[in-house]
Formats: sequence, C-alpha cells, structure tokens
Amino acid sequence: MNNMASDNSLKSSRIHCRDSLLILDGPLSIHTIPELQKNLKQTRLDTVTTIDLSGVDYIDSAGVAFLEQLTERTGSAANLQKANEKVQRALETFSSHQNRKPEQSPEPNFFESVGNSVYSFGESALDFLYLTSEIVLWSLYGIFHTGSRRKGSVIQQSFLIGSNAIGIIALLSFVLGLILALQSAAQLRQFGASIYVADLIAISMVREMGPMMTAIIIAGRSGSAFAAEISTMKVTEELDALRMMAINPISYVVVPKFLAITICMPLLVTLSMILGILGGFVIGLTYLDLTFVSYFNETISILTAEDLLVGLSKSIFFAWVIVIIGSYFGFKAQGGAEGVGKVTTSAVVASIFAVIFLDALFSLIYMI
Amino acid sequence: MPNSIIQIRNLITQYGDKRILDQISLDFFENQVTVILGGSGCGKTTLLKSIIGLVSPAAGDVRIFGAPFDAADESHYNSVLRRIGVLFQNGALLNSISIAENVAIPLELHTHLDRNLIDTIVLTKLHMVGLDHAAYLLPSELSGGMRKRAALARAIALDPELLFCDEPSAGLDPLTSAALDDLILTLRDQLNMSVVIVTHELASIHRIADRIIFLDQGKILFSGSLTEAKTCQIPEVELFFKTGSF
Repeated sequence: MNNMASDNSLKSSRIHCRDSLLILDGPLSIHTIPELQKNLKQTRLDTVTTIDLSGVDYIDSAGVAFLEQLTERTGSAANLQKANEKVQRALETFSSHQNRKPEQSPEPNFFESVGNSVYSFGESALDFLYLTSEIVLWSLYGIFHTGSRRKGSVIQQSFLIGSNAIGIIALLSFVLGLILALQSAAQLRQFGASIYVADLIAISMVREMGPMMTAIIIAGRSGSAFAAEISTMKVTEELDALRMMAINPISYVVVPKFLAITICMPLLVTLSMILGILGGFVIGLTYLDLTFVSYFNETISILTAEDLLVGLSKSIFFAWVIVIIGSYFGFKAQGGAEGVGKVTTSAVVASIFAVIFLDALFSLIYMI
Repeated sequence: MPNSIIQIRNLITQYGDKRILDQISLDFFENQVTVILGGSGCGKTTLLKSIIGLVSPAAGDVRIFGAPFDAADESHYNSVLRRIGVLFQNGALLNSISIAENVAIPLELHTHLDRNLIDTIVLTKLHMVGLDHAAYLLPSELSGGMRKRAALARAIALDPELLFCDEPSAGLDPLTSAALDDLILTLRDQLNMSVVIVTHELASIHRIADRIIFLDQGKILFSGSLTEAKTCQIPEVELFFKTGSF
C-alpha cells in the first residue's frame, strides 16, 4: 500500500548544521519529531541563519510546530528555504502565527479565595434552605394533589427504597444485635447480671442503633441513588425538558421519593429493632442460658411507648435529611459523568454525617 | 485508480434478530472523501461503527490499511486506532475537562512530543476549527456546533490518515458548515487524509464528496463518483439529488 503518512512513520529524519545553514532531511512528522528534538540538543543553533528544507518530503502539523520552535530558538532570524510546494502549503495551513491565545482569568489572591469560599458557602446554604422549603412545600401539596406526579410513582419509590432494602437491613440488624449482646454479655455475666443483656439490647436497638443503622444503610443505598438519578437527569437536560413542559422537577422527581421514604423509613426501622432484639435473644438463649420467657418478659418490661416514639420520630427526620441531601447534590451536579460521580459520593458522605449529627442532637434534646 | 484503504467483504451486522447491514461489500479509497448516504435507519451509522469496530459484525470481513481490523487483537487494533480519527455524532467530548485538554489527550497519550509542542499543536487544531479563543472552556459551556467543531479538532489531533465523521454538519449554521467542509478538503489535500463521512447535507455533499455510497435498508443501492450519482437513474438516488430528501 502506498500510503504517504504510514510510510513516513517508518522513515527517519536527519538534522545537521553546516556553518550558518541548518539542513533537515526526511519527513517531519509526529513520528520523527521526538528523535529530531533529541538530536537538536547536540546542535549549535546560535549561528544558524537559514533552515534548508529541500530534503523534507513530508510535513504534518507537529512538523510545522517543530519548525516554529526551531526558528524561535534561533532568535527568529532563520529563514526557511527551499521548501517544496506541498511543504510550503502545509506551513501556511498549520502555522500557529494566526492562533489567538485565549485569555485566562488571573489566579485569585488569598483574600479573594477566602471571600470566594465564604460567598460560595453562603450561596450553597441558601440553595439548601430554598430546596428544603420547596421540597416540604411540594410534598405537602403532593399529599392532596396527586396530579403533579406520575401515577404510581410513590408506590414504585416505596418498592425501591423499602422492599428492596428489607433483606440487607434485616441481616445487618440481626448481626448487630448479636454483636452487642455478645460484647455486653461477657461483662454482665461476671456480676451475675446476665438478664440485663435483654434491657441493654432492647433500649439500644429501639432508641439508637435501629434508627441510626437503618438510616446509614438507606443513605448509602437510596441517598446515592437519588443523587445519581437527579444529577444524570440534570446533565442530560432532562430536568430542563421537564421545566419546558411546565412540570416542576421537584414535584415530579423529588416528592415521590420524599413521600415514599417517609412511609418506608419507620417500617424499616421497626424491622431493624425487632431483628436486633432477636439477635440479642439468640445470644441470651445460647450463650447466657436464659429462658425464652425471662428474656421476653425483661424486654417487654424495660421498653416504654416513649422509647418507641423516640426511635420512630428520629427515623422520619433521618429519612427527610437523606432525601433532601441526595436531591440537593443531584441538582448541584455539573459537567458529565465525572460530575455525577462527585455529587453521588458527596451526597452519601454528607447524608451519613448529617444522620449521625442529628442523632447526637436528638440525644441531647431527649436528655433535657 | 487510488489504493483501497478499507476493504469490506460480505459484512452482516445485526442487533438481536434485526439485520441492519446485509452482505455489504465495498472499498474506500485513499485520499478521497467518501460520503455515506441514506434515509434514517438505513444503517449508515452502524456501517461506520462496524468499520471502526464499535459494533461487532455477525459475519464478514473488514480490513483497514490492508490488515484485518478486529477488536479481539488488541495491540493491532490500538495501533490502527492511532492512525484513525473519529468524529462522533454528538461530539463525545469529555465534559469534565476543557476542550484544549480534550484535544491534547491523544497527543499526550500516543506521542512523545514535549509540552510546548503539544500546546502549539492543540491551539493550531483549535484555530483550524475556529475555536482557539475558547480553548479553556468546558464542553458544557459551548454550543452544540462548537462542541462538534471541538470534537473534530480532537479527531484530527494526531493528523490521522483516515478520518470518520458521523454527521459533521448536522446542527451547524451554513457558514460554519461550509468552513468545516473546507477544512475537510484541506486535510485531504495537505495530509493525504482519507475521509469517510455520514451526512445528509446536500450542499456539503456537492462541495466535498469524491465518492458516494447510497444505502437503503442495509444494502448498497449505489456506489460511485459524485458525477455518476448526479446522473444516476435509480429513483431513490435521483430523488435525493433533486430534492435533498429521501
């Protein structure tokens, strides 16, 4: 095959200097330039006034850029001579002299950077508050006006958030109950207080571990899905398309998730509480030799309606935080695939942090 | 007669049970602009993707630069890909980096050129497509036409021997479209580049096409020079060159 460019990838080029004349031979292409650049380091260029191109049979854009670099190094004094017609045309086509250097904005100084950070934090906080208020408003509206969202969307979301998470939440809560019981049993047994394992597991699962464990799993599972879905819709202009169809994206995309998670979270937390207590029960029966009746009676006697209320009320706030943070990061997405990845990670990290922070806050409030 | 740069023999491509390309055999020639034409869904883009290995054919043989072009032979496949430029229908620029960085990717990864030369080449390529002023903008900050031109700059970053363009003029204004056509002709004449273009734009076809491949329902309806196509008696081809529609 007689292909000019592919042939040139196999040929080599030479550069040599004769007095004030720099002679180039062979093709000047993307394949030969690196070698020429190496050879050029051993060549004196300060006396060069003319670059002879009569031996150059092919030149591409890399070759032209190389020649420009060469003339610059010779103090722009060197003339390019004896280029054949084809090389001359390529020199005109690929010349960078006509390039317009784009303007880059100057780097901000320290104070500008601090100012920008404070400003963007304030802006983000405002955006977050604005989004939260919109979600709450549209969710309240959505309870009574089902026409603003797709039919069956709340049920579909409930299935995704709730039903699909039952297995993992049940398993992890059961294992958590087992671990908590095992760790505390070893200590309490020394004082003949084995029966209080039931109290410890019941209180910790209902008031703290059940709601928090479930919220962390949901943040990782569904929070990331919310952020990824909304951010993908944002970068592919689907949200803009909804707006153009006079459909509020929050009402259409976020409200079904908000309503579904509000329904599902207390149910999942209840499941987590039961399975956690069951895990403790297994240890009580097998490791501590307690009877079924004594363990059951102790659990029932220690738990109050208030404990259950504390656990379930917390779970609803956790749920709202997860959906709001997931949506906030989703709407904030910019760029393409990388932007989606970034906001998804940020949403999960922020959700888990917010859940733990909120749990600490609730603990303080309930203590007072 | 110029040398054949791509040989396709008995190519069959299907998605599931649906046959898109049916026993296609044709050649693409060196230093020519070949335009693939046809109505929507006739298999133009699939033909392009089958040639460059993005779609695996069910049967048949594709040879580029004289050797079988098979994605299974990864080292050969990659070495051929370095000699090829592809402009996708939607540009397919990486959205998280500037267009200058997009254009620099093949130069950074496939050459040993120093940074200054790469920067010069990037700006030259962006200047050629009229985007040197926008070098540091992100693709999301550009219009659709600008994104396509930036994608073309990336496709020609390595001065490929073979350039594939999927609807390069779609969505561009007539002036930009004409400038792009001129650029394609310059690339053909200056760098002996062979160009395969899928397009519907009649004005563009008249300006740049050396050869026409007309597809219909996965088969070749017509293959020949632009002059032959203009005087062709096949009703579909005749209709297109008279009205610009299929």
